[in-house]
Amino acid sequence: MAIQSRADAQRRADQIRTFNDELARLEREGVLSLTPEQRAALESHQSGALAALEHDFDIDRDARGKQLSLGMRVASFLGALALSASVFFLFYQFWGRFGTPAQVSILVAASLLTFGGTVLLDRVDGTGYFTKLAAMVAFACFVLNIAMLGQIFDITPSDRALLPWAALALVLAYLSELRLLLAAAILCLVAYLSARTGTWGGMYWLDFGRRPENFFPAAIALFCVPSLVRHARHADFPAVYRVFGVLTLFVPMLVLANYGEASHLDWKPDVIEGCYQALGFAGTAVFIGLGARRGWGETVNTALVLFVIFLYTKFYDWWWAVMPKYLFFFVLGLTALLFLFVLRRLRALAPKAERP
Amino acid sequence: MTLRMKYFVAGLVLIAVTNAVALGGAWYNRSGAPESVLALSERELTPAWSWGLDENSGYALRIQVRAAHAPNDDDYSPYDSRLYDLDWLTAEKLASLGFDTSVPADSDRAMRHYGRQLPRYAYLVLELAGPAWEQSLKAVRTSFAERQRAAAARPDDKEAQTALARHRNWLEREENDNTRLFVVDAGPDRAALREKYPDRARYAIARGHVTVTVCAPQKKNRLCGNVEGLEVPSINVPLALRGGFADARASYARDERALRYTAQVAWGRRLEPWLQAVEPAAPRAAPAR
Repeated sequence: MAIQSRADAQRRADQIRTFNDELARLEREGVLSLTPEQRAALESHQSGALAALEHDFDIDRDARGKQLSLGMRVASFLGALALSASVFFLFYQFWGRFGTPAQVSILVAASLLTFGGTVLLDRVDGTGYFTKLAAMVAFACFVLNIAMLGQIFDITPSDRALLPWAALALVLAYLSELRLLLAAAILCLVAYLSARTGTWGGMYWLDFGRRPENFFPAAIALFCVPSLVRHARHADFPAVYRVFGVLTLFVPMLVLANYGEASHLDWKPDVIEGCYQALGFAGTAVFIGLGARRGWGETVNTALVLFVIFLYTKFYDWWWAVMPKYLFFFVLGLTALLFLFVLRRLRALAPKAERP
Repeated sequence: MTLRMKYFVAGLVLIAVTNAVALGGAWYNRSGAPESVLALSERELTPAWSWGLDENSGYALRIQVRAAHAPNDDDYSPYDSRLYDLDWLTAEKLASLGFDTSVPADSDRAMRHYGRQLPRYAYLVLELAGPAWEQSLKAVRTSFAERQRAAAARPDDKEAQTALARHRNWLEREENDNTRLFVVDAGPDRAALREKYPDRARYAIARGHVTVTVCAPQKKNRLCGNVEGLEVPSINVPLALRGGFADARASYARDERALRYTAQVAWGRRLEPWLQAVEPAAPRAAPAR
């Protein structure tokens, strides 16, 4: 397997550790025994491989290392949030004391310098945590840059600002391998596409959320991205696209399944709600099956949660008022058991498929 | 070129182009002769609040607009300044803005039909100290004169005296405090509106959004056109012009409204406003409340 990213390197290290654990078990049970020469060759090979991976990608060699890495990720995230907020409030504290040329210069310089700093940091930061922190601060500076220009020059608020924000978030996400920034980019893109879909009908762009169908084109586009774009170096990113694709498709559908008045369709609300309920059930089932077949665990889990929400909201509509509460929750519990049996069956039947 | 270098170049170009587009748009809006320039006072431009960001050193002014309505007999409020149920926003005008007004307001389907329609963009005509304001002022003065006569005829009637005091307060506010900037028209065609209102020192055209609802005054359903607001409801005050507003925020918070100023506000090619100049005026005594 070609090692192209830290995620690949960590998987390789985990494979070596798992192999050693299994080898030790087999030796204890007397199934397998290596000769001293074989053991020496194996240890030499594995030491060299792990050392190279640690040098190039700063991987975690053991469980303790993994726990510490998790702590570093949390610290990096909290640090990024705090620094971004600090930049925001710093500017608000002092911007009124500068003339317009100075304000514009500071805003543009902040965006350029933090972005340039992120790229430079990426060259020297083996762990990646500092780069991720810098990337989030750079994104915050750019959002502030455009938002403040709008305030300074009283520019008409527009959904078009979402597009460059999404673009820079994408650049930073792919540079620093940060899924959080990818999520930010996706949210900006979803908002932009939905607002555009609404404005084509003459609607005021800020009201795009009042017609949930506006989100459907963005959802389909998101789900198709991993199929159209190879992610050899960012093996974790396709899952993010798929999860957001499923959420962007079915959460609006859930809203319409309960509130048909919000639909673009000028039909009777109960007809609209019935149609979207049926679509919701069928659609989530399709995505569960598709995810199981393709080995997309995140798609299966997300679609399954949404299927359960669709089902439980229907149960609530049918039975909450007419059933005793103990019986209502007993039915919910039985339904969950049914899901367990079905999923166990699916797991037994599904072929082993490689993730793209 | 390495992948990192490609990301670097892409990001730099993106930041540069985005800023260029934003600044270029602002320059274009302010280039050439302004679309209109109005001399607004502290009545039409009030300090915009910073929503709890007390450390915000920036300063903005909110454009206060209202609309005129036909005088009514409501003793609580003889005049009305709400931006909904506007008499001039007729069914024909709403249809010209893109609303579907085919369903009669008194039909069974009307509430649902019009309730589903979302706000739409419109060009709004803002009139400064014009016929709409004079009509409002006249209504308040007439109402006050009536209350004065009634109070004089019944000097021991506590209710009459209370009503007189209330109307005196309204008259005072209408003459000194309330905004003189009225929304008087709306349409989809900016050029047609400017042709109808050619005085660029009295009428500004701004972008806003409009809604339609079914309302039932006197229990009879009819179509109501409403102005939701301006696209750009506030104006940034640059540092160079800050001097004229030194104490405006504090004065406004104390409800003294003693601070007075005249601000030249221009609307540009993209109908985005900006502050051209500010001249402080002599403060007036805090009005008795």
